Amino acid sequence: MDDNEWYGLVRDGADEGWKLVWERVVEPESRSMRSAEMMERFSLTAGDLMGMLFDDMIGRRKIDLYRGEGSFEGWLKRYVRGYVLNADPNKHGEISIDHAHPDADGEGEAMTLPVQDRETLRVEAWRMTLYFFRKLWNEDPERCYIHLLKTRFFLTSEEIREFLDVSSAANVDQIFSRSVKFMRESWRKWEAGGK
Amino acid sequence: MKTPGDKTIAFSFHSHPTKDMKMRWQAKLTFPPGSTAETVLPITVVDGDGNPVESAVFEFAGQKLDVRDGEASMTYADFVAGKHSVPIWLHRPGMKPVPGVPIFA
Repeated sequence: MDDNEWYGLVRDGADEGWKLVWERVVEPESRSMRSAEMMERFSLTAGDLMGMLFDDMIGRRKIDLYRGEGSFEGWLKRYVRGYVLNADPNKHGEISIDHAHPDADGEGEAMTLPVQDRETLRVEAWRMTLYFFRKLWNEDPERCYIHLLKTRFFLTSEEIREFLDVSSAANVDQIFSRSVKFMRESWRKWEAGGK
Repeated sequence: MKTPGDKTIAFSFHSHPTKDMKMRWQAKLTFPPGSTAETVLPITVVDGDGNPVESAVFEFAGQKLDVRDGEASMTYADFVAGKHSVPIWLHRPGMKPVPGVPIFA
């Protein structure tokens, strides 16, 4: 049976087509190393996967999205793999499999949509660092100078002592330690308040 | 009081974040290698478009420094004497003074 014929049977809900789905897609995937362990962890059975696949394909007419590009088996496996990944209770986002390329290797991870924008988080972290640095400046600018000289210009404590006319290198270390602590505590307070 | 002989150190400052580009400015204080107390430290001051500020007073490290054509200066000794001073302002004629902050970079 070729893909077109199989697709037609599945689309029409024919037992023969769905029997093949079980034998070639759902059952092998549920036994695969990449899915079996996760399914056990998330209390998911092969029957559950079959039910979800049927609901999507027939109930929601996702079957109409198949364009005949790549193998039908591979296309169905991507859905099944998506159900397994989506069962992870720690995953708060959604997994989109509608646009998964049928010729892809079947690695479900490729279908995962990020639930947080890393770039936004990076910008936010940088913005907050600048904000805390400003707060540190308002505490005592000398702390900021020491912070910069240590972390940006990699000066030794002795060099900083000479640079800023601080009484001793030990004092420089103490001030630096306080400034790091201040930045960390500011982060901690902000995160506690932000969450 | 001296800076490393093999490194140029520079601290940068910019205006408090503001949407008005005309109000923005940025300043850079540079310590040439091997600076000592009497060394004159160059300061460059540019506006939001990166053009030198023609005329202004840069308030920094407890000093009020004249800015002409984007350039000001102070001695290293004055900088160290004012190392605990918090206020940073740029006063431009005909404009409201704009406070500044250090750049963590």
